[in-house]
Amino acid sequence: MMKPFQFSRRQFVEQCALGVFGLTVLPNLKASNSLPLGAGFGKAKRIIFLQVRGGMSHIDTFDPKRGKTQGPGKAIKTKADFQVTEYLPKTAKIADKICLIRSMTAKIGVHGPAQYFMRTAFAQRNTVKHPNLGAWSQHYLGSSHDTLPSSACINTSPKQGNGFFPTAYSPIPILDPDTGLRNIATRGGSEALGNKLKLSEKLSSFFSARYQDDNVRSYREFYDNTLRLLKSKDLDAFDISKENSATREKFGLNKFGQGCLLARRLVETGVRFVEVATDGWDMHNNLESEMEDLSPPLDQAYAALIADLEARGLLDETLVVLATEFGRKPQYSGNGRGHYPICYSSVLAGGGVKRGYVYGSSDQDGALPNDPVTVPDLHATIGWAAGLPLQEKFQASSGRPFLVGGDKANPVMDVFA
Amino acid sequence: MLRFLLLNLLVFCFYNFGTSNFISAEPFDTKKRTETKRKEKKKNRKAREVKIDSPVFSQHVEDLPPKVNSPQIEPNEKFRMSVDQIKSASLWIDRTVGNRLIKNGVQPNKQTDDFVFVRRIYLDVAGRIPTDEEASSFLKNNDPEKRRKLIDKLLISDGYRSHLFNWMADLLRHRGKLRRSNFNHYERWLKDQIAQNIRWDEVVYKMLTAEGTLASSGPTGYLLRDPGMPLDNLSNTLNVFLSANVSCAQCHDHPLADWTQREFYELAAFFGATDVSDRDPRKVGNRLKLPDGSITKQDVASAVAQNLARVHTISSQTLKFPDDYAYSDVKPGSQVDPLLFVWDDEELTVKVDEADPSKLRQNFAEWLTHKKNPRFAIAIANRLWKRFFGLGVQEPLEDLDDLTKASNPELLQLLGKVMVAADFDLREFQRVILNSKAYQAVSSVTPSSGDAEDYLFPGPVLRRMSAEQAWDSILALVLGSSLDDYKVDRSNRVTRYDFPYEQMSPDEVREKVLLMKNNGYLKSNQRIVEADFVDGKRPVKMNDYFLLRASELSQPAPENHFLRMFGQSSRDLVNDSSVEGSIPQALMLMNGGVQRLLYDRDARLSKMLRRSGDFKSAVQFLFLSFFCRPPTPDEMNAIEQALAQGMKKEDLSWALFNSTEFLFVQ
Repeated sequence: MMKPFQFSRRQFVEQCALGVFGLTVLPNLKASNSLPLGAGFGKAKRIIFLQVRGGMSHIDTFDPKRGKTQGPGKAIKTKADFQVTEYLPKTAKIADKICLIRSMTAKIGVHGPAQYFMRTAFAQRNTVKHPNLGAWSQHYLGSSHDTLPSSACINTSPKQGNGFFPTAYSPIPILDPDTGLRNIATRGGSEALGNKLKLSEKLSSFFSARYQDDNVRSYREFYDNTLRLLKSKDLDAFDISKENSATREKFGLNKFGQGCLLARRLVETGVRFVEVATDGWDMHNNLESEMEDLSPPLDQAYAALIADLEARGLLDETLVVLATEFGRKPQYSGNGRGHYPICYSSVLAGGGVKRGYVYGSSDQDGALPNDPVTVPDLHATIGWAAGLPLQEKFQASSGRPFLVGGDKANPVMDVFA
Repeated sequence: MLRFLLLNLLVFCFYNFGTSNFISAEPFDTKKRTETKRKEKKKNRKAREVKIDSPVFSQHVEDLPPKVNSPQIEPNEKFRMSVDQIKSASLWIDRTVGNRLIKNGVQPNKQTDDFVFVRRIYLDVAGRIPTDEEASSFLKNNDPEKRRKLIDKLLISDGYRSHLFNWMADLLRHRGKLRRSNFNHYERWLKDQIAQNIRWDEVVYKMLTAEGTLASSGPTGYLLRDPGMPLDNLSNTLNVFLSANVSCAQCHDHPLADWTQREFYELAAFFGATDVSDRDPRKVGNRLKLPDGSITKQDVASAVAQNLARVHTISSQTLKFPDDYAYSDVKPGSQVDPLLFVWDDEELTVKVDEADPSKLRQNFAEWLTHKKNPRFAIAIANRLWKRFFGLGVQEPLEDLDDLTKASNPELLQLLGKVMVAADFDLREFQRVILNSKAYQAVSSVTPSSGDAEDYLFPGPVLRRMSAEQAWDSILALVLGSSLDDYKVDRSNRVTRYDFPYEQMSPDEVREKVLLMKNNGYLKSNQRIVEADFVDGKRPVKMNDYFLLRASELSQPAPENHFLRMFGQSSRDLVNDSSVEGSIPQALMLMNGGVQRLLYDRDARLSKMLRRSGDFKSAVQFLFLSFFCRPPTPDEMNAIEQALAQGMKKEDLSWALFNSTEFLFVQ
C-alpha cells in the first residue's frame, strides 16, 4: 500500500509558512491563477504513463475523419458516444471508461526532442535535464514505498528521468517485462554479500574521499538504493510470472502487453509512477500495413489494462495516460503520413477523470485543434490529479526556478468529474 | 626559454605540412550571405532532363558473389607527423590552455603519476584497462620518453581501432539492422576506413556522395540510415559534422538560433536529386514467388532486401518548399533552389553546377568537408577533445553557431587549425592532444551544470567509463591482452546478395533467387558462424557470453546485455549513450553474469590469482589488475579485517570490481 507520508506534512507547512523552509519550499510566487480547487485533487495515487513512440497517427486511431484525409481504417462505434477507427476494436469496448483529448497541440516535429517534450513538458536543452512526472511527484510527495523505487520505466532506458532532482528519483528500468528485475540472487547467499560488500564500501569510501564529485556520489546512491531493494519484501512485484497465464494472455504476449501488466503489478504494490514504452509508430511509409501490424498489441494491452484496473477497483485512483510525441499529417505523402505536432490525440483514464468523455476536437481534416491542450497543460492536468502543488516552484541548483509543466501550464479542469 | 619556443615555432612553420597558415589571426565570421552571389544566380526553374549514366551497381555478372568476407585490410600504421611536430603542436595547446587559466587565476592541475596515467591512457586510446603485465611493464620502464612511446604504440593497436569505432558508431547512430536492411557491409567499410586511417574529410565525402545499394556499396549506409526522411537525415548531417543546431528549422525559422526554414530547405535541395529508399522486400516476394513453392515469398525477400535499399541519383532536383510554408519570401510548394552558405567572401566558394543536378551531392559534400569551412574542422576537433577531457571546449557539442561562446575561444580555433594542419587525420590529431600536458594532468571533479560552460581545463574531468570501456575491461581481465585477437565481420551476409536487381526482369530475378537458394545463400543465421570469423579465429564463449569486444558484437548490443544496461547508446539518436548509474547496473555488478566470468576457472584473472603465491602478492596482483596501482596501507588493513570477519579470499575480486574506483577514469 502506498504511504504518502510527506503529503500532509507539506500541506501543513504551506499553511503555516511565512518564510522559507529550506531551498525547496518557496512561498507562492505564481502571479497567475491560484491552484484550482476540486474534489479530485490528489485522487490519482498512482500513474501509468504509456509512451507510444514514433508519432501515433491521430486520424488512424482516436480521431477518425471522412473525406480527403480519411485513413484506411474506417470509423467504428464504441461504448461511448465517440468513434475510433477499426484498428482499436477492444478499446472501443472500454471507451466508456476513458477520456479522450483530441486537441493536443505542440510545435516540435523531430522525434528526439518531441519525445523529451512529451515526457517532461520542457524543450530539450543541453544545459539542463528536466524531470519526468515521477520525479516531480517524488519531490513533492516523498517516496511512495519504503524499499521499492517510486518510479519505474518499462521497455525503455531511464534517460535521466530524475532531471535536476537527485538520481535516486530516476525510474528503475525494466527493459524486458518477462525477465523483470534480473540479478537479484547473490552467489553464496545474502550473508556472503554482507561481508564482501563491507569491504567494497570501505574501498569506495577511500575513493569518494579523494574525489568529492557529483557523479561519484550519485553512483554510490544507486548502490545503496539497490541494497535496500534487495532486502525488500515486495520484490516479487517485479516478477510477472506470478500472474496466471490467463491474465497474461489477456494483455497480449508481447513486450507492450506484458509491460502494461507489469505496470499494474508495480502500481498495485506501491510504485507511484510507471512509464511503459512502445516503438515503431513512425509511419512515413506503408501506413496501412504498419497499422495492421502495430495496432492489435496496443489495442489489446490498453483495453486489458483499463479493464483489469477497473475489475480490481483500482481505476479511480490510478491515472492511465496514453501519450505520443506528435500525430501524423492529415494529407498523405506517398502511402504514409509525415510528422504532425499541430493537432493530435492523447487519452486519459481513471484517477478521477470523466468517463466516456471527449475534450476538444479537431477540424474536419484533423488539421487544427479546437480548445487546444498543450503538453505542459497535459502535465499540469496529470500533476493536479496526482495532488502536486502546481504553483510551488522548485529551485534547481543552477538557481533557476521550475514548475510542473513550466510557467505557462494550466490544468484542463474540464476533464475531471 | 622564449628563444627556444620561437625557434620551435619557426621550425614548425617551416615544416608546414598543411597549406593553411597555422598562426593566422584572421577572425572567422559567423555565417553571412553574399548578396551579389545570390543576384548573380540564374533562376533556372525548368527541370532539365539530364541523362544520368551513373553505374548504380558494382557488377553485372552471372555468377554469384562470394559467400565469404573480402580479405581483411592491413592497418595503416604510419604516422603523418614527426615527433618534433607533435611536441610543438601539443606545446601550442598547452600555451593556449595555460593563457586562459592564468587570466582567470586558475591553477593548472599537477601532472598525473604513472599509476593514474597508464590506466587512463589504455582506457582512452585502447578502450580498456591494461593487464597487470602491461601496467607493470610501463611502471618499471625508466625511459623518460615512455609516455610518448606508449601513446604511439596504442594508437596503432587493434584496441585503438575498436575504441574509435565505438565512438564513431555512436556519432553516426550506427545500427546493424534497420527494419529489413542489414548494415554490416557499411560497418565493414567504416572499420576499413579506420584501419587505413583515411582522412575524416574523405570519409564524410564518401558517405555523402555514395551511390548504389547496401549490398554493392558500403558507404551508402550513411544516407540509408534515414530512408525516405531526407530532412531528418540532413538535420543529423548538419548536427554531426558541423555542430549546427538546425533541427527546429525543418518546420519554421529557428526560435533560438540564426537558421531559417528557407535556409534549411535550400541545403536540403542538394539531396533533392537523390532517392534514398528501402522498399519493402515482402512486396517483391509476393510478386515473384512461385505457386508450386519452389520459390517462396521469403526466399525472394531474403535475396532482394539488401538490393532494395539504395541511394540513387535521379535526373532532376525535386525538393519543393512545403505547402504550409509560412513566410513571404518564397511561394509555398515552389521548387527550391539549392544554396550553400559562404562564411567568408573570397575563400570558400564551391561552384554549384545548376545544370547538372547529378552533381548536387558532390557540391554539398565539397562545401561541408572543405578545410576552409570553419565549422567542419572545429566540430570534429571539439568532439574529439570531449572524448579525452570529458567536456567540449564549447558545449553543447550540437551548437557551434556562435564560436565566441566557447569557454576558451582561442583554444577552439587552435584545435580547428591543428585538425586542418593534420589533414583531417583523426589519429594524428588525437596524438597531439594526448601528448599535451593539459591532457596528462590530474582530473578535476565534475563541474556543476552551471559551471560547465566556464570550465577552463586545468585537467580533464573525472568521468565514469563508457559501457564499452567497462565491458572491454572485463574482457581484458578474463582474456588478457589477447582479447583483440577475436574479431567478427558480418559483411558477407550483405555482400553475398549483391546483384543488379533494378536491371533484371522478374524471371531473371527468379533465376538468381533459385541459384542462391540451391547454393545455400538464403539460409539466414542470427548466430555467428564460421564465415564471420576474422582470420579464422572462433570467438570464445564463456557462461553464455561471447567474449568479444563491444565493436564486434551486434550494433547496438541486445537490450539485456551488460553493454546496454551500462548505458550503451540505442543508436536512435546521436550520442545517446549514458554514464548514469541505475539499480539494474548495481545488481549486475553485485550478482550478475559477469561475475561468473571473472570467477571462471579459465579466466585469466582467476588463473593468475591461483598462481600468485602468498596472500600479499595475490592482493598486489589484484590491485594492479583492477586499479593499476599497489594497495595503500589503509586498504591492506581493511582487507585483512574483512578476512578476519569471515570474508572469503575469492571474494576479493568481487570487492574490487564493485568498488567505485573500478568504473571511473581518473
